Amino acid sequence: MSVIKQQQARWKKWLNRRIPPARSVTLNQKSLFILPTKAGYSFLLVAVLVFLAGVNYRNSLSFGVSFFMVALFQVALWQTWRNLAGITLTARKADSVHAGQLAGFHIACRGEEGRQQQGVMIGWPDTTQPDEGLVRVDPLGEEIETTVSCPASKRGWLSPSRLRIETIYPLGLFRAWSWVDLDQRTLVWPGLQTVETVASTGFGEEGHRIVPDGMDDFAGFRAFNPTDSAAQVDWKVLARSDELLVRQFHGLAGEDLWLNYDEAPGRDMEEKLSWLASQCVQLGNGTQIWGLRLGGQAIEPGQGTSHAHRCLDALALYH
Amino acid sequence: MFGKKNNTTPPKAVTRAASFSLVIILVMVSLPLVPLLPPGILALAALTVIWRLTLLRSRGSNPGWIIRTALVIAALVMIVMHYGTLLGLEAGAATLVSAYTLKLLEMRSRRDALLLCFLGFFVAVTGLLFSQSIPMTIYLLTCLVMLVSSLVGLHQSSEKTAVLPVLKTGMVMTLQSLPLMVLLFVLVPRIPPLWVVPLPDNSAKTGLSDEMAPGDIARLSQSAELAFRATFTGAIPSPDERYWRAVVMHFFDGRRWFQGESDDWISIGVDPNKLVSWYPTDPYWPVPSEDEESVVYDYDIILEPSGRPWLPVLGSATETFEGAGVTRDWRLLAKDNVDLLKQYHMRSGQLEGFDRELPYWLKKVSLQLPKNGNERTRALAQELKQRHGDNVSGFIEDVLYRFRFQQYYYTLRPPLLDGNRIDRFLFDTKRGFCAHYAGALTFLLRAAGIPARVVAGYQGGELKDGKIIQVRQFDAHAWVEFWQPGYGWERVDPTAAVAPNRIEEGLESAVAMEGSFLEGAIFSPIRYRDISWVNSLRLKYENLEYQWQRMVLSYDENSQKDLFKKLFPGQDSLMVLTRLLIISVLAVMVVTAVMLIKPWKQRMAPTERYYRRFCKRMARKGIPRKPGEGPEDYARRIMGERPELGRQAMQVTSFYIRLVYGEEQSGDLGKLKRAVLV
Repeated sequence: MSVIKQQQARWKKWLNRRIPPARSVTLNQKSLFILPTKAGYSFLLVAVLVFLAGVNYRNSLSFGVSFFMVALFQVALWQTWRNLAGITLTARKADSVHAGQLAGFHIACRGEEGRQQQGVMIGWPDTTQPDEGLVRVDPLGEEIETTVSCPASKRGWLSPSRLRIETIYPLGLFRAWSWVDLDQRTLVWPGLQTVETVASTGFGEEGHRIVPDGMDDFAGFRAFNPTDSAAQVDWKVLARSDELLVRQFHGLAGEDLWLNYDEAPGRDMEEKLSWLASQCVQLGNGTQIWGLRLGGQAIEPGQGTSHAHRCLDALALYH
Repeated sequence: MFGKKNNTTPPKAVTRAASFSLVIILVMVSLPLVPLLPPGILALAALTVIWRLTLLRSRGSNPGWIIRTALVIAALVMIVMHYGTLLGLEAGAATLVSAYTLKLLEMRSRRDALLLCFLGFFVAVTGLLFSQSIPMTIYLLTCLVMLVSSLVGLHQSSEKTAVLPVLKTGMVMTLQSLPLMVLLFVLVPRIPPLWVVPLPDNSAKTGLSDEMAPGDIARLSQSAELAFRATFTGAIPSPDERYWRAVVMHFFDGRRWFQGESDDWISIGVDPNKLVSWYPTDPYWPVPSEDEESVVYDYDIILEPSGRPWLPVLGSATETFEGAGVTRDWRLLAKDNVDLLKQYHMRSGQLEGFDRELPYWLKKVSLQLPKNGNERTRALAQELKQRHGDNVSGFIEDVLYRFRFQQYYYTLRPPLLDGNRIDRFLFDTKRGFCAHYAGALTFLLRAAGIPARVVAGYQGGELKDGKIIQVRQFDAHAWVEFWQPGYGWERVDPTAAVAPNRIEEGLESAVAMEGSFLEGAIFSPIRYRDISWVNSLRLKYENLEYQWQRMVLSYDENSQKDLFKKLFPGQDSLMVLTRLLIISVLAVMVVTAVMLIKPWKQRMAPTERYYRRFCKRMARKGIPRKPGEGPEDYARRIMGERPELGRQAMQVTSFYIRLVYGEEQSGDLGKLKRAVLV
């Protein structure tokens, strides 16, 4: 283990002792850190210049201004600290997303009653974004719920690192901050890809082309939707009547549409899972009934968004 | 233009309210500098402010780099053309103001805005170099509150545009800063100047000058500006002893009396450098010493900036101090022009025996007169000399008698003179003020072969609190010194003969009939001294101003050392200061921290507070919560052990979990509270 990693681990351990993970954290002197900002250091530099003006011009009021700036610096220290102290962060729900998207974590930020706490920035720092991607909250003595997003890169459980909460209000001369672990996690589903909807039980070499003509499964025609796959269009009907119709198949008992991991296209597991997930999302939007076979486990056929989510959860946790 | 940062993160925008406040601050802090700035720079500043305001109304467009560069060049050219340099204090101030306004014009990000605020502090300080009066201080405080407020405003969300809460926060933070500021002001060890800086240009100030042409002192008599204040320890001189010497004029060219440039001295064979003995060398000429009978006054002077090196001294100066010297004609001279408030301590008085032996060269200078001209005066001098012979006192008595009993008048509105000015004054117009009388008497004395010279300075002053004498520009005065063999120099004031009340009661009373006192200064409170409430207000204000000068403005390394020597006798004042500084800063920090953290009422989130109270109650009933036990497990255990408490435990726990885990419904907190308190 490299020295940096060791240090990081030690730092993590220390933080865990100092600010233990909890669903609700109230910031206090134990959990707050504070240091001057760049602007704060510049401000002190200006104070020094003013002091030198006072020395060289024997100008008492310049001394006064210089000392005022130093005193204000001190007041800024306390005021900035106080702007964060007493804030309570509470974990609320977290939305599941697909890998590659931003997972939204809902966090309630309650200011201390009767205090004008504002300019509280919450989030997971991302230096490419304005404000490092932090979200501004102005509690002003009340509770405000905000959504903080965290990039979800991999499927599976996403437990984001410690949440950064900071403020430079009121003067911008100091930055008070803390790292809190709200013990939040969310399930990240496999990433999406563009796929054509499978509409039958069979899979050919290309995974989606073969459409059996069996009359048992055929349920009738319906008008073409822009979302429909080209494979479902009955080209014969089109040739005959210029009508763009889609053949519908009923998932009959025992012959429901089964998505099968083993038959999913893709070079590796992640690609296969991604394909399956994309199918689940599309199927979930339609009326199709489908089931999922994933290695040893099987999810019984169902329909609709909640069924899709169940399948996606299973895909997210598959290994 | 003034530091660009290329960064991948997009800059943070400045809210409109904050931009507007920055414009206001710019105008406020630059205002005291307006009289110093060249008109071109003022126009430039006005242009940028209007441009910025237009931008704020979402009109017009940001200036491109060509326009910005053009503006910078224009500003620099105007400054160099006006002052001839970019250095110097006034030019520096103009450069600073230009940079400040141009930065305002190109402000985009919050970073720029912060820089503008910091520049604002600096420009405010620049204004202080030119004035530190009480009104200026109040104005400065207003500027500081504004600066702090706009720093607050910069960090507010853009939806909040109300001005008053921000101003209130700014005010509160300013007030919170004041205690520490005062402590630092008193306790931070002061140090002498580290390097030489360009000083304010006072050359255009009204004040004494080194030559006396008719009209100069009359011009001063129109100014009620403070010249200096003297604080006496011990005896106070009576009004007719308050002669503050500043300039001695040895030369007369038929029109004006003057001090003499180097060339004038060299032409009569005197090395001008030898006319001053700088501290710490002792004068190489004999200095009269004090004896028991001589009256010596002990006083501190705070001299207003005059732009001249002369340090007024009561009577003749015989001692000196760091940065000053004694001149051959017994004056006190500062090494540099007095461009800042100057404080010095002096002991001087009515010593006798200055130049009992008059060196040949000095005698020659003191008898210098133009070759011809003013023949009537010369004739009068000869006539008087014949009458009195070597009796110099008799000679002078005769002249003063003439001034007193012939039709001579003391007036601030003398008729204009030309040609043989002294003749015209002595024999025709007979109207003039101190300069005319002093000049005429000196001429008469010199024409009669008696060494004499004109001395200019201040005479009189207003006595306050029984120990402070306050001298204003209208107290400027000129009188005569003549030399008597075996005695030395002696003062004679011809004005005292023609207008005794000028000496006893001051200028106002001397010209009361004429009504010419402070004619031009209709707003000067001094002019209305006879209206009692105006006068009492004026006196109170002057007293305040005096205390301000003494306690605050003159608080430098010396007064700091004196103060702490007095408070902690026998200790090294630097050590005392350092110790006190550390202690008091720590004390302030601790007090602030305690006030803000309020450790006596540590508040928890209400949910947590109610749940803890519930746990306490259960503990009292014999089922304490085990360390590390989850709320649900705890509730189940309570149900198992004490079924009668189970219902409450379940209720409390379910509300608590709902609240903490964020699935709360409205009113859950109230329900939790009620469930706990059942």
